[in-house]
Amino acid sequence: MKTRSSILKAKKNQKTMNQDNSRRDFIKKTSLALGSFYIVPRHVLGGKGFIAPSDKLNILSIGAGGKGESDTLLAYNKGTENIVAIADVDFGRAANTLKQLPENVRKYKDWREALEKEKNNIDAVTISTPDHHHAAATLAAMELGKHVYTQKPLTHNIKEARMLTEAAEKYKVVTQMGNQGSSNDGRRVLQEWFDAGLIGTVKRVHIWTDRPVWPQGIATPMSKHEIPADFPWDLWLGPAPVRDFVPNAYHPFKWRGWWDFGTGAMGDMGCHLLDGVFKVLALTYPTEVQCSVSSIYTKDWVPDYYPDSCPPSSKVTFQYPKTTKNSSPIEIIWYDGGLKPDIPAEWGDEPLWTNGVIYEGTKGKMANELYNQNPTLLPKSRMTDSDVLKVKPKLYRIENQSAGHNYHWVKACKAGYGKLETSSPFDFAGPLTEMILMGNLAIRSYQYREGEGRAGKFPGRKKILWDGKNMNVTNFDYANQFVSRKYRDGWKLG
Amino acid sequence: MIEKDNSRRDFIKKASLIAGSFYIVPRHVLGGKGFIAPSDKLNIASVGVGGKGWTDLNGAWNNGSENIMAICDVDDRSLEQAIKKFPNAKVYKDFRTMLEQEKGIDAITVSTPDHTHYVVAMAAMQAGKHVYVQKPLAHNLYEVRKMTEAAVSNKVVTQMGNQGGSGDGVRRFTEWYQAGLIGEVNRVHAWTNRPVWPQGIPTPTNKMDVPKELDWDLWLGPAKYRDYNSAYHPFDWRGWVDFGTGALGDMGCHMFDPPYKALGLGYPSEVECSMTNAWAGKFKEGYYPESFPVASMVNLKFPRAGKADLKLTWYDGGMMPERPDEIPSDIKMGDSSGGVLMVGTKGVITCGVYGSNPMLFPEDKLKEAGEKLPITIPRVVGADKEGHYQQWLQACKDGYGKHKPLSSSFDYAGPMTETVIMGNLAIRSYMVRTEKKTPVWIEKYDYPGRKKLLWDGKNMKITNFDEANAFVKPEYREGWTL
Repeated sequence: MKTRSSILKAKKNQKTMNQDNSRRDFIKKTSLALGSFYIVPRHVLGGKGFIAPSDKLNILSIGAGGKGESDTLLAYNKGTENIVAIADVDFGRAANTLKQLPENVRKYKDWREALEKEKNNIDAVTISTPDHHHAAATLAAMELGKHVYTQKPLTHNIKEARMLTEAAEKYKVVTQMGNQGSSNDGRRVLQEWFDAGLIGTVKRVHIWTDRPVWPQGIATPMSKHEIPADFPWDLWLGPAPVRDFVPNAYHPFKWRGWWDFGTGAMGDMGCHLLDGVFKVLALTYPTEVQCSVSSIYTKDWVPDYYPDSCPPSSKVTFQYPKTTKNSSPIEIIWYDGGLKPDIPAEWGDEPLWTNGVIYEGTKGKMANELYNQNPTLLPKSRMTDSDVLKVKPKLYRIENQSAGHNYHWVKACKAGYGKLETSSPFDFAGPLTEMILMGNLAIRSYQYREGEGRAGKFPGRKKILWDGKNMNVTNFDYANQFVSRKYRDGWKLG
Repeated sequence: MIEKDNSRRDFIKKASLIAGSFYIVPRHVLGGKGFIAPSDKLNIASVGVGGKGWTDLNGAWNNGSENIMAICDVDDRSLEQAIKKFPNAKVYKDFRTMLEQEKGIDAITVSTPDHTHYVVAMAAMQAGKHVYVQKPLAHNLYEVRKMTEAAVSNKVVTQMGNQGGSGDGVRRFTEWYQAGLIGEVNRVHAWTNRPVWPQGIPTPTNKMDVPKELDWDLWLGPAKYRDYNSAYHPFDWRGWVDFGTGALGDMGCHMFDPPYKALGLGYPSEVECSMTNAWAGKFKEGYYPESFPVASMVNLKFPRAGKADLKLTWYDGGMMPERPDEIPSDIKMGDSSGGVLMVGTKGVITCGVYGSNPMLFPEDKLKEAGEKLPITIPRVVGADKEGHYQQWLQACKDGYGKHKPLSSSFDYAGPMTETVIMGNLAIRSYMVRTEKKTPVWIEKYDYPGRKKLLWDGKNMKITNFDEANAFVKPEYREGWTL
């Protein structure tokens, strides 16, 4: 770990630094003795959570299989940090993670128990559960004053995202959402180009993904199965409504396609693909959202109806008023399941990327691939124009870019709240997640059917008007049930 | 050339002359061909009499105004009700035999699955018969072009079965646009709820017995041989690239009709599309190039002399365009089958399927002007009922070159159908894949056809993706000629 250089870099780019935690006094004193001018005793600056860079951050990892594997191991950072404990309902799936950690890592099935028992032993928590657990686990950790790294999307519903955004400020903990592409230089390049006026004012943005890369638009399985003795299905369900266990239908991985647990293609990829757009254009709450989704017919004439399952493909359009950074209203169009926008004339004679973003500005267009990679001005020949080459990097770059996203959070935890800005802190990631979940709210409204079969009516197939500040759909009250949800007994939010 | 050898007509003709009817002129005087006295009956043959064919058969019969001379279908189950209703009609399974044996036929309705429109209609036209052909005109671009030409060279009266083309709605739609109520238009959207049958699915591999009533080989016609499966016949052939033309083929000819008529569109110059992926499992892509996709969006560009290009976007499988600000949030766009949205500089026009219920927005500025606008385009008599058939029947009687303009004669329906089929060409090109040299995670293939395809309409050729040209012209099975 390049302690000194990274902290110096951080200092240069952050307004102030400050530190905390007396057990690290030794390091502090050493630093002072060495003449380091940038370490100031914590009682002077206030704040909390400073941990000397050479000291280990103590981490509880909630969810260590699947995406949780890399989240846990990147925070562990080959042992520069300490994974105190892991909470997971399926240690079989976390086996590969465990193999790479010391044997004394304590194991819990229930993250609630893990937090309770380890609260005095940990500084920070990573949360890489299915979406429906994110909010409860993250909020519980923050209430204990722990720094948190939570997978994208931040939460399963809009209200949860709002609560987490507010809690991050209230509890003064370091936060990061796991959209690692936000740490790529690409986002900063796009922002520098936009800020330099290269594409003028943005009127419209197109975003597309090939996700879902798993079946959606499918019937809820109704077969009866025994719950395996070693699998705590009830714990896995957590705050979600009870339903029967079906092997491989929900766990592992396929929960993504079911509204009770996952957030569909948009939840999976929206936080990556909209990250740059949200940052560059300083977006907040959309005012209007409309969508259409592909239908499913396994028989003739009568559409299948699977309101439990996210659709195979969808197109969602968000309306934004002008923002602090863009002087005109913005239309943002999302395409998933393989659907794509029109290929712009400036694109050239080749296919569009599999996942991507195109900004349409009054003076030009720019594009990027997944994770803000490959920022490109259109036509590509534009990239060598002198006014483009004149735009110099001015925004802070993250060490190792997306690969450093997790560890940058570790560094920020050690630096203490308010000292080292992360790429996707909750005051940014919360509203971004809310936008994405608004897209899902529109999709679920669109799916809602009154009546049966061909006689069914779809009252939610309209432009949804959104009062973001008050989290209220003003023209289709049915949709307000999707803003939040009632938790099952034994599970709570904060 | 038709030779009216039907002696019973001579009798009627003579009788009419005796009765002093001044409007009956011997056909050799008028020249041309196919003239049939208004009081006389057309001899109609219907090929394909189940499903939509049943409607077409009855439409052509016109409550007894015409004579159903022959009915033809490869499936006895479809013939059953037709035989009951028209006991005097000759019954055939093979249209080729029918054409050979029934020289007295004046006009033919063609309501077979898309892949046999061409062979039936072409043989009929070459035999000098007038034709009414279900939409889309044919299964692929080459066939459509040939049929458009054959209508002229054989001097026959033609109509495509997009009945909305005879409706009042599309005429009102056109009048509003042409009066400049919505200003200049360079953006059109059209959409449908189709497919309402399974698409994006694997080709069936299970064995099924051919139903005893069905001549499967004849059903296949010129298409490549494959075993019978109920996934193809009846009805669901629509979703298979070898037989049908997908959602676009089913509804495109209805939905493109209003903008085609209003804007006077011809051949497109560019096409591109995207579609819903099929997933067979986690990270396991379903690759079903024989089946049209679950949903697709297609962009077509039309160059226009002295004007900006026109862009037409098609949406199917439930996808829809964005609602423009001019249309209030609680007003349904289009109807349950789909709709059309034409965006102008001063406002928008929408309508449902068949040009129904045309509306102008913003309402406060344009509704009244729309209502007050005088009717300038002649309406088709009986447009809300059987007018589309009757118009064609009357034209058959008037004779080629003498009849009034038809709502969807092939000179018009041909280019419009080619546009529809261009969309399918893009869809099929989109599914062309090659193995990646270095796979990246789940991305194992390249899809070189997923780009803007450039169309040389005159020469019927895609100029920047040669693989696409394989979809322009079909290969016919032995025994069938193109």
